This record gives sequence, structure tokens and C-alpha cells, in this order.
Amino acid sequence: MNSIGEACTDMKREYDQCFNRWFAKKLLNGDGSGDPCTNLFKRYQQCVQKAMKEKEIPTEGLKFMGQGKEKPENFLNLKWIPHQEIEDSGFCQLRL
Amino acid sequence: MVKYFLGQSVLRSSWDQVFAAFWQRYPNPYSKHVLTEDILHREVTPDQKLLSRRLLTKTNRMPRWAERLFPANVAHSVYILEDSIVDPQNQTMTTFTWNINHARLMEFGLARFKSNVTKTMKGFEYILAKLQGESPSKTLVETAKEAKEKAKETALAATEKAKDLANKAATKQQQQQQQFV
Repeated sequence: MNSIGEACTDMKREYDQCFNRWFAKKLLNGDGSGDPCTNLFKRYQQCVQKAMKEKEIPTEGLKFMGQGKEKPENFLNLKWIPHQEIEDSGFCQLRL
Repeated sequence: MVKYFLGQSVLRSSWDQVFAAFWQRYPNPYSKHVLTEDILHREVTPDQKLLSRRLLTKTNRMPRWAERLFPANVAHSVYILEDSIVDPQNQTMTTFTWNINHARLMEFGLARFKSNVTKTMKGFEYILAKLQGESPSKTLVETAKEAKEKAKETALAATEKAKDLANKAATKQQQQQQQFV
């Protein structure tokens, strides 16, 4: 997948690889400490912020999760339903 | 117009597979309209939740009639922000997605359209006047004013005539009655 800044695509891919590895192995197993990707992320971010300024994309002051504006109905929720509630085990419920 | 939509699906995978896949879902055969993907922000909270902000750009596909009306917007893509909270301990993930420029694109399109319609009418009047050998100085506003004045006069004249006719009819009735007697 490409980055919004053409020059940033390689950096993005490098960071993504690092993140996906760390995410699957560490975070999902409860160990959110020691993120090995911070340097890659910094480099990638500098490039993206520059590209966004050039393209004048307005992302200042936009509160996380659009706080206070929208009702929860507009949220995409992914919830793990344990197998007692769904016939077969190993299923994940997706609620849009 | 549909404002709210609720959909529920069951994915045949474990939660950690789904959460991992969420960060790797682009590109895929169904995402040809998604042009770029970038992580703008990421942090792990003290209670082990992952907060992220993702920026996507998507094509601004419009029906052909809208392309004709808003040709300037055809070239602009739509910017979308997706904020998310991944909670591995409770095995839930919540996202909030919204576009940050599409509404403005449409506003701009509408304003441009209104302005173009006005220009069209002015140009039309100008040409008509020219063809008819008149001095092309009258605007729609002035013409409307004149039309209003003329309508007033016509209405007044009509009222007078109606009164006159009524009087005549009344007089004739009296005469007829007198004849009867």
C-alpha cells in the first residue's frame, strides 16, 4: 500500500513490517512494553507530516474518536464472543 | 436518505488473527478505490490498549450526472481518518471513521454551481438584448421591478373596470325591475 507521500512509501513498509511482527507476538500476548519500532516510526512520521503539510490536509484539532460528536452507533466494534454464546468456537463477531 | 446502518457479521477466525489482519487489510481485491494508507499516530496506554490514527485517501467516485455538475471535484480524492482502540485484554476493538473533506467538496461544488447559474442567466440576457438591438443594460432585478409595477397598474385598471361593470349591471337590473312593475 502506498503512502500519501511518495517518498515515504518505503519507510512506511519498513515500519509496517516491524509493527505487525511486534503486534502479533507482543501486544496481543499482553506485553505492550518495549516497542522496537519507535525509530522507524519517527523517520516515517517526519516524512508523512511533511507530505501532509504540502497537500494541506487539515488534521489539526480533531479529537480522538471524534469525542463528543457522534453516537456509539457510528462505531465499528469488533468483539470476541466466547464459544458458549456462538455455536462454534473460534469466532469473532464484527458489529458495524 | 439512509443515516444509520447496523450490520453484524461473524468472522471465522480468532480475535488475535482478526485484530492483526485489521492492520494488513490494504491492499485487497475489493479496495481498488483506496489510494493511500498512513499511520499518523500510535501509542500504548498504561492499561495496555493500543490507540491509533490512520489516514486513508479514497477516490471521489461520483455518478456521471454529478461529474457534469461538479467537474472540479472529479480530481480531488476523499480524506478519511480512522481512530481505533485495540484492547487485547478484553478482546475488543473499537474504531471511529469519518471523512474530513468530502462535505466541504460538496459545499464548494454547490456554491460554484449557484454562481454559474447566475452567470448563465446574465450572459443569456446580454445576448438576447444584443440580438434584439437593445442596449444590454437591464438586469434581471430591474426587469423584475418593472414587471411588478406593470402588474400593479394592470390590477388597478382591472379593479376599476370590474367596479364599472358591476355598476352597469346594477343599473340594468334596476331598470329591468322597474319594467316589471
